[in-house]
Order: sequence, then structure tokens, then C-alpha cells
Amino acid sequence: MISYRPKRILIQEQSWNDSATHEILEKLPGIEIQTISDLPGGNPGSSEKSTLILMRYPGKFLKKCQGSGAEVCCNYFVVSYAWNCHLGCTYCVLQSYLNTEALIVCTNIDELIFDVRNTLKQSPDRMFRIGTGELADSLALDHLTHYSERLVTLFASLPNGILELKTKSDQISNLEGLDHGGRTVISWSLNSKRICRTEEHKAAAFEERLAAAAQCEKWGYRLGFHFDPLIYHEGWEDEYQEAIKEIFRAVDPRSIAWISLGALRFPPHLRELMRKRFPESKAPYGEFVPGHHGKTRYFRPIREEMYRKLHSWIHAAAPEVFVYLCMETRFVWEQSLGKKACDSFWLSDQLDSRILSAAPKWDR
Amino acid sequence: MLIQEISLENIDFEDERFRISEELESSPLMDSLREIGQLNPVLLLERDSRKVIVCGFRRVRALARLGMARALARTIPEKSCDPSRTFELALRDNLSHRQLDPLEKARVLFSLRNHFAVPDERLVQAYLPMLGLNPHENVLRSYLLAHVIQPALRNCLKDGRLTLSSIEAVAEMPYPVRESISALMGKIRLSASLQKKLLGLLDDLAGAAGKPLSAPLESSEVSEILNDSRLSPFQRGEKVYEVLYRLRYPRFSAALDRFDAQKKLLCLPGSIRITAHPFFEQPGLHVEFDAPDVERFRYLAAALREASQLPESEELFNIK
Repeated sequence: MISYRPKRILIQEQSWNDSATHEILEKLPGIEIQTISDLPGGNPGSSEKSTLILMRYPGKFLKKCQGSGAEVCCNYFVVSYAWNCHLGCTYCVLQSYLNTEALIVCTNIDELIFDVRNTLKQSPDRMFRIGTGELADSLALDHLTHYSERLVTLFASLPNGILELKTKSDQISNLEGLDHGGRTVISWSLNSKRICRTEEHKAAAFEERLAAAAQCEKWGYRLGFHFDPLIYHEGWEDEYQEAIKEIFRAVDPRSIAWISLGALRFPPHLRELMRKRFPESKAPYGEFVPGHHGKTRYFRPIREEMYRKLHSWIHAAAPEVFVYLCMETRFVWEQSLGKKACDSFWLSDQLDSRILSAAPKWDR
Repeated sequence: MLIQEISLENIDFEDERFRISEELESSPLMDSLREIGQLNPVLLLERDSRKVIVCGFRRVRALARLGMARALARTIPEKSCDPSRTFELALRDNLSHRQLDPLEKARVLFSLRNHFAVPDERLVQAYLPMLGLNPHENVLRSYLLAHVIQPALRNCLKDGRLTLSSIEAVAEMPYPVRESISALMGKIRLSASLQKKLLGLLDDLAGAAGKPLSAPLESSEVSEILNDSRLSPFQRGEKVYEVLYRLRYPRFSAALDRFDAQKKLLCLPGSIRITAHPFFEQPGLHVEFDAPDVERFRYLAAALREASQLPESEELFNIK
């Protein structure tokens, strides 16, 4: 994987008061620094991935995942302390979602921790499964921020929280030796080897991701895998089947909290962007039709075929591993996984129980 | 300005700086000149002993072809008139009595920009509205492009076989592909929206296969349609579009076919309309009929009830 190192750092004035800013700068000596008063937009050079912006996020960190509202939703929450990603995946929705190419890191991590702790404390009877990988890769910048250390230990101390760090990187060294209390799932977004190579340019190679997963397993973490986005391509059956076999060669199925499946989907205007930026990519040429939430997605029978087959291969290798679909209707669940009468509460409970049943009993 | 008779030998036919007309040959004009002579004098710019045509390109040519030696003309001395002002004179004269076609508008904008150095901002603000076009820089760009694109495509635009936005899309393609598109458009007619969709399909099919954009047009199925003389250009256009759509969306097209086939097996009266959820995303059906009286209502309801008992009706809920 290509590790991120900016050529230029823009620092919002108030961020100089945060210790996180200084800790990040210590790891980036010799890089041009500029203090800015306003947030990105009018700053020359701020629209390049080689620019890192350190700023304070003024709003509430903890939010419902944008998938909420789908017919069968996993009731996921997200906290975002970074925006954008340098991994350059062809299909990445962030290309059209954010108005800057620069990578942004929030330096008021203390406020994020306060927000999470406070929100969870106010609803002690409710479980919160929270991810950090919605608007950035959870670990791709961890060599600079070390935020994983603070978050993993935070969640080990929260009776009603589960943390999921979702990544395509292999930057896991900061996770070693942390007191995670079984409450953190380290998840990898996986694809076939070919898709990893051709569509996820700067991310860790398939083998590197699996090696990182195996290492995290040794450190006692529960693991997650997300085959998302599944891309319908020539030879997809053999290649995804092989990918699944390799997962179970690398890690013990009992360490896997869940595997999710989600077929490629994107806002319609992203397709043109993909074609312009990545003319070699075949991803934009699938049999797409307009779908839910204004997103373009594969024609339903194609999605169902992929889900059905991947599920059967996973089930054959490890029947105990829980497989779920991301942002799909009940009808598609029934057609592809054969699960009837599932709803958001059921799915949410299933996912929570995968962690709670395995985690050390709460006795602090 | 005096009207005088000017020898055609003194007129510079090669200098077309002020030309606006796209088509210079006109049979009706020749007939008129032959029968009743020249009623309206042309406008010439006097430059030394040579005269440059400002208004009347077609008249001067027609007179020459009829073997006339002289033309009635008004002349203006070159030094008394700014060139861009002179061009505007020609433009306003044309606009006062006729509509310019898209290629003529393109020529006007190209000339103003390249021969008379009128800045883009002024072209957008002043000249586009004068030509009846929206004052937007994209419109200017499209028209400038239309002026320089290859003749076959210019003809497509002139004949209305390609819209300006289609021309713009085609202009970005490699030369041989443009040739294929103009050849295709010579045989088919498509509405503006279908043109856009067809170009999109070709682009997608080429991108998916990593082949030239014109490759799907070389299939035997497309050739057969294009060479079928029983079909009108519009019918050929629709059929070519259908073939390309099926290539691009094979599974969805097949699902649509299966749905239609299952519907036919129910043998329902034509006034009962059954539609599926868009793109078969959900399993439900939408059933609709109009019953002007109770008798018709009972008849249609009974037909529907009978059809609902057939196994084929179940298939409609399970289209894959």
C-alpha cells in the first residue's frame, strides 16, 4: 500500500490549540505549513490530495449512517474525524461527495470522544454500533493521527458501544497491545484480487489486507469483511470464490464477526466522473439501472445472483459466519439469502450479538 | 450611396470575409434574374480597384453563371468603414429578411471571432441573442465547433439529422468514428433524445469492450437493418437503437421480453394494462383498466380473475 505523506499542510488557526495537531506535525517534519483562517474552498492548492488540512469540526460527530431508511438497515452510526482518502479507488463516492480533493483531519478529537461518550451515556439501554469509515478510510491516516489508539480504548470502556474500523489499508501497527475489550471490530473492504489491483489503486493488495487481518486476529480483535462494492466482471465467479477461500485460509471463521455484501452503486453523476478520471476502468459499464435513494445500481437479478453465490461459497466454507446485505430491500434478501421476515431490528440485533456474545462480560 | 453598374471582373469572388450564406447556388434566384433581372443591388466594399462583396454573394454568383457582365451595386469605400461594422451590416441585412440556418449562425460567430477579433464575452452577450440563441458560453462553443467539423457532419446538422449537442458529442470522437456516425445518420433518422441515447450506448459499448466506438455498428444485425429498403429512416433508427440497447442491457432486455411474453399468455383484453415495477426492482404488478359501464367492468374483472388463476400469472411476479 502507498502510505500517505502530504506535500503541504494547511492548519486552521484554532487547530493550533489542539494537541492532536502537534502530534501529527511531529510525524511530518520538513513539510510546508500554512495557517488558514477559513475552511477549504478559497485556498490555493487546497484542492489536491497532496494537501492535508487540519481543522476543527464544529458540529456533532456522531450521526446515523446514510443507509438508514433502507428497508433492511443495520442501524449503523458513524463518527467522522477525517474526510477524503488518498487510496484512489475508481468507484469511490467521495469523488463526487466532497468539494475538495484535499485530505482533512479533525484535530478536536477530544470533542469527538466527549460526543460519543455523552451520547452513549444518555441512552444506556441502546446499543450503538459505530464506524469511522464513512467519509475516509478508518486506518489509512492512522500512522499520522494514532486516533485508533484513543478510540479502541474508549470503546472498551463503553458498555453500549461497538466500534468498527473499516479499511483497505494494512496500517495496523497502532492496534497492537491495546486494551480493546472485544468491543472493536477491524474490518476490511475486500474484493477479488483483480478488482483490488485494477480499481483500488493505492490500497493495500488483497494479500496484504488478509495478512493484516490475520495479525489483528492474533491480537484478539474480531474481524469483519465487506465485499462492497461487488463488481460484476468477467470471471467474477472464480475470482470471488477464490477470494473467499483465501479469507478462510488466512483467518479462523470464529474470529469473523460478520461479512457484508453490497453491489456497486453510486449517484448517477459519478459514472461520468469515473469514466473521465479512470478511462481504463470497466466498473462504469455494468448493467446499471436507476435504484433506491437516487442511486444507480446493477439490475436486481444481477445483484441477487452475486449475493446468492457469494453467500453459498461463504456458507459452504464457514456456516457459522454471519452474512448480511448492505442497503438492500427485504425482497432482495429473500431472493438471494433465503432469509424471510428479516427487518432492520433483526439485522441490528444479529450484528450486535456477534460482538456481545463473544466480548468479555461487562464488569467494570 | 449611389447605385451603379459594376463590372463582375472587378469583383473579388475569392474574398469571403463577409459571407453569411452557407449555400451560394440558388436555382430560384437564377430563374428570377433570368426572367426579370436584378431588382436589388448588392453591397460592395471598395478596396483600390477591386471590390469585396459585403451583401449579395448569391446574386453575384448567379449573375456570373447567367453570363452577365455587370451587377447593380452600392459601394462603400473601405477606409470609411470599420471591418467588423461592415460585417454587422451584412448580418443585419440578412436577418432583416430571413432566418439563418444553424450552419450560417455558426459561420457568423466564427467570422466575428476569427476574422474580426470580437471577444467571446461580446459574442455571448450581443451576438447570440441577435441570432436568436441563448446567451451562454456553451452555446457559443457548440456553434464554433459546428463550423469547423467535417463536412459530412455539417450536412447532418443542416439537414436536422443531428442536433447541435449531438454534433458536439461526436466532435470529441476520433475521425474514423465521426465518419461512421455521419454515414449511419445518412441512413437513419432519430429524435433529438434518441440521438443522445444512441451515442451514449455506442460510447458505453465501446468502453466496455475496449473497442472503437463504431465497432457495434459493424455487426451484421445493424447492417441488415440499415440496408432494409422496406423500412423508413425513422424505423431503421428505432431498430438500430433497439439492437444497441439490447447489447448494452442484455439481462434487462431479456427480462422485459419475458414479462411481455408472459403477459401475452394470459390472453387478457387489450384494455387491461399490466405493468411491472420500474426495472423490476420490486416484485409487484400494477394493473389498470377503464370500464365505462358495469357490463364492461364485469367483463374485464372476470377476464382478470380467470387470468389470475393461470400459472403464467405467477411468472409475472418472478421476472429475472
